[in-house]
Amino acid sequence: CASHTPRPEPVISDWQQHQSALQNFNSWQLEGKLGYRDSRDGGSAWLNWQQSSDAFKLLLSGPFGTGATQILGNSHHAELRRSGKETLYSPSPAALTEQLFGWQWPVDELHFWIRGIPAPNTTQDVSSHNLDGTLSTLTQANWQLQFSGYQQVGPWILPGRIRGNSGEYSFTLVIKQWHLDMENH
Amino acid sequence: GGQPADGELRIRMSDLESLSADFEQTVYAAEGDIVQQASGHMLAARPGRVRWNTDAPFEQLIVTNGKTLWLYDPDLEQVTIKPFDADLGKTPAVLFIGDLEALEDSYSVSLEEEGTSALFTLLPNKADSLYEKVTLRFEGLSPVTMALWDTLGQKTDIHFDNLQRNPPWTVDQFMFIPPEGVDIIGDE
Repeated sequence: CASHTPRPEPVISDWQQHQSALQNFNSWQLEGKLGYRDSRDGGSAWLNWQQSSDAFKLLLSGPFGTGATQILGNSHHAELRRSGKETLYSPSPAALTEQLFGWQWPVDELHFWIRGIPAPNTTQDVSSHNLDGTLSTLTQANWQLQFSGYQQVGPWILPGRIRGNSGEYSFTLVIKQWHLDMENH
Repeated sequence: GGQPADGELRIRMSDLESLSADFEQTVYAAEGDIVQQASGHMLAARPGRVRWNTDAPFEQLIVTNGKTLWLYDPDLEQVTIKPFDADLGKTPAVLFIGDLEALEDSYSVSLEEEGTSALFTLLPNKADSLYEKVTLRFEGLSPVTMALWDTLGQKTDIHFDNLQRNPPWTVDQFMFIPPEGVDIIGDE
């Protein structure tokens, strides 16, 4: 089991190698919290994110498990299920986030940002790194992102907190627990 | 099922002017896997006052004085301030602090008794309720478990421990002053 001696600061010597390796890391379950706001309103939810290759399931719930909401699907189909409401379907998960929050979340990019790497197929304007090589800030898809709270999770170094803002919209993602899907190791 | 028992539940609830307890909460997805687990402490006082403090790692504090609801999340450094929504269909924890007449409008209640254990089953009357079913089990005069099934098949189990019936409380326990530098969302 994991040794309990204090871990040395995780060091990424080769960023390109780290990035391409993480691009293939696509099966996980994480638990955490999501905060979001726009000029009018905002809120927070407990988040459970299950990802296995391009299939995903996001469970959002409020205190006492209220307001349970699920967004699930894959790259070409998505469903939004809310407690007490009928299910909504859409070819794109991002379109469903607009139903839920009133604005479109950068879902495809978040799929990579959550791993602490830029989205590969989107132009990347600016980024900066911490001394240990991990990504500190990133501007991409007109979002400004800050990454922090990195933690060693099995073979990976993954962020524990991501703050993003774009115009009036902002979100905070706090990841409390990563569970690796052991099959693809 | 049991016989209709709105009155019986009302008696037990009105007997609880205030309540404090430790809680363990587990949320199960429809497939049965655990999606959320948390523990903490709750203080409730009728009418409309709740302080629901969830411990780390999912630290969160919910405070309401019956008019305003503060939801403080230290991880997110965020406080959401909203008018308190006493809709029993939305926050069944309101069962402990809500006006009991509304209880019968929102739910039809049945009771199954076995010795000192009483299991109340509440089925919502309104179509737009978030929950399909809520159960509340008492041991003697004290609530011990509460369970909520929502329309997605998600189940929330809440167990109460070290329960104190009618503890003293002060008004400032049901107020919240946002700490410095925290993002405030909603009307002050």
